[in-house]
Amino acid sequence: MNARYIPLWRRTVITLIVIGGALFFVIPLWWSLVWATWRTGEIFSFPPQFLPGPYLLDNLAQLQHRLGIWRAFLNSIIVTGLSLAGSTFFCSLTGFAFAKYRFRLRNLLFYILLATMAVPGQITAIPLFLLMLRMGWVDTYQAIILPGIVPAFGVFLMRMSAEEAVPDELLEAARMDGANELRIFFQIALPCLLPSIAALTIFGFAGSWGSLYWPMIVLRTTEMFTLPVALSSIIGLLDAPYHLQLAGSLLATLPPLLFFLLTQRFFVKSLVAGAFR
Amino acid sequence: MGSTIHKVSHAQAGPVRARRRWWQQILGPKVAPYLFVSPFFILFAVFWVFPVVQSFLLSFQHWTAKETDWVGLANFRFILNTPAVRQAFGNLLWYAVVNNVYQLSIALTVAVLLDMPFLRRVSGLLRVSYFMPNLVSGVTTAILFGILLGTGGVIDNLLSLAGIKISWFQSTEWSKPAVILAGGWRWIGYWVVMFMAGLQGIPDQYYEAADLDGATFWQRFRFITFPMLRPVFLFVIVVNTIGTLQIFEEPFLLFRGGPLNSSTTPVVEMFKLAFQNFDLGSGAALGWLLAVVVIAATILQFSLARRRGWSE
Repeated sequence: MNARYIPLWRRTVITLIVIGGALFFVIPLWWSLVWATWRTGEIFSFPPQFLPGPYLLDNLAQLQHRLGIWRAFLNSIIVTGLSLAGSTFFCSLTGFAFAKYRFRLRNLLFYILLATMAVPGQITAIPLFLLMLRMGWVDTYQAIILPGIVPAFGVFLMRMSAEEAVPDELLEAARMDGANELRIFFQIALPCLLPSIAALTIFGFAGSWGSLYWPMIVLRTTEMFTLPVALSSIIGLLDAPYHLQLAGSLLATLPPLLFFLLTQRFFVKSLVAGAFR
Repeated sequence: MGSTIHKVSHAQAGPVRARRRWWQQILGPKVAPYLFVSPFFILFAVFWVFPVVQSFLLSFQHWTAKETDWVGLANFRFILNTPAVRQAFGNLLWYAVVNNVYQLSIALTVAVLLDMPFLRRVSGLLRVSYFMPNLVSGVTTAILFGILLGTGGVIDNLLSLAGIKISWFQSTEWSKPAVILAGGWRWIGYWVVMFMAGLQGIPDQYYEAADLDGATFWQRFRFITFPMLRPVFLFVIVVNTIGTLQIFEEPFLLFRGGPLNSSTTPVVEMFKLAFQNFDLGSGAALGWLLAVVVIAATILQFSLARRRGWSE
């Protein structure tokens, strides 16, 4: 203990550094929320506003009038919800099959997955766009959802989890009892995989909710815009509606923030598990 | 219920083992894995494998809505002679180096400090504080930093108190640092979380032994913390590099790649080529050029790490 004794003044300095550093991260986040309740004049006041103002509803009403922001909010919920539901289901089904069955195409399929992962995602955007044109799916939900519903890394994660979390004895016992494989998946594997499914959801939520690149390419009309696309459409305009940008940002930031605060304990663990696997 | 009746009737008909119905065979352990992986792989083939292959072909084609012609390497020649694209790759090198140094040095420092025993009670809360900006989307980050750095914004005001005047949005020198600042705000906390996970994996006995030998703080970092952290560090630097090489949202939303291409990146230029000029062939060629850079950088990092004995 003595050897690790750190003098009080040093402890104080270190504490101040890490708290001061944390403020650099938290305060801008706080501002991005609070300034949604002010108008452009107050946003640029100095010293800056730290407390909420009275204009949030007014800003949201203007934003609704200009962009149909609530529709964009709904679109984001639909797209993110279906993407996460679909990807967790497909990934657990596929990961389970990779972990617990030996079948002929297993290695080949796994290598295809690996090889595709090495290629940066953006280069698929151009052919995907042509595909959506041909299918007549430009400006539709399925055009945003379908490419995101099959994330390769999700299969890796679920494969690892299934290898550890689903006991072989349980599967064998169920087979002896005459359960078919589909029932085994739903009634035995899936409950064992629930923590990993939660991890995959947490891991994918912020990314899916905030994704801009592909939705911006494939969405055309304001009625179909997701929140990030709607917001990006009012960035860099001549009339610079900062208060509207921030009001929209508030809508975009609150769901992942609440989701995080609700699942906090679990969240960081999932993040680390998702990353290191 | 149906299946039992079925089996029973067969058993009565003869001594042979009951022939299973078609759906029982499909759901048996031989066929089921194919059934399980096929939905994923059908979608994966259509929405990932096929586009990767087609973008490769497209990079050698000239595409118009009516017809596509093979043009050999013309797309590659065209993009390599486009000043904006050249500048984009130049910028990319700058971004990759500065982003790694900036983000990882701060994140590692914060993680090591937060891991100190006397901070253990508050380190969870502080870690969350550093991490929270990572929940925010790139669009919100761009909006926020557009305001903070803009004329009359908080950072602009603070700097002018110190007598410094930086026009972040007009100067070609400050656009890249602005991108780095915005990106760092969003990502440093994520690396802090990763580093702290790595630090918590280092057994206390090592430190106790070092303390018995009277090691200083720096010696402990140099000979225990950093060597034990190498696998995490390698992971973080590889992921951060891959992410930085594909940087899009901040330079696009804050600057549209400008002023005078000073902040542009290959993904921004690819977006402009393909979806604003509808030169899909050149866009695909640029995409593959970037893919080669990303894959080469990753292989380089892994092989350097292996040569230095960082990974087993």
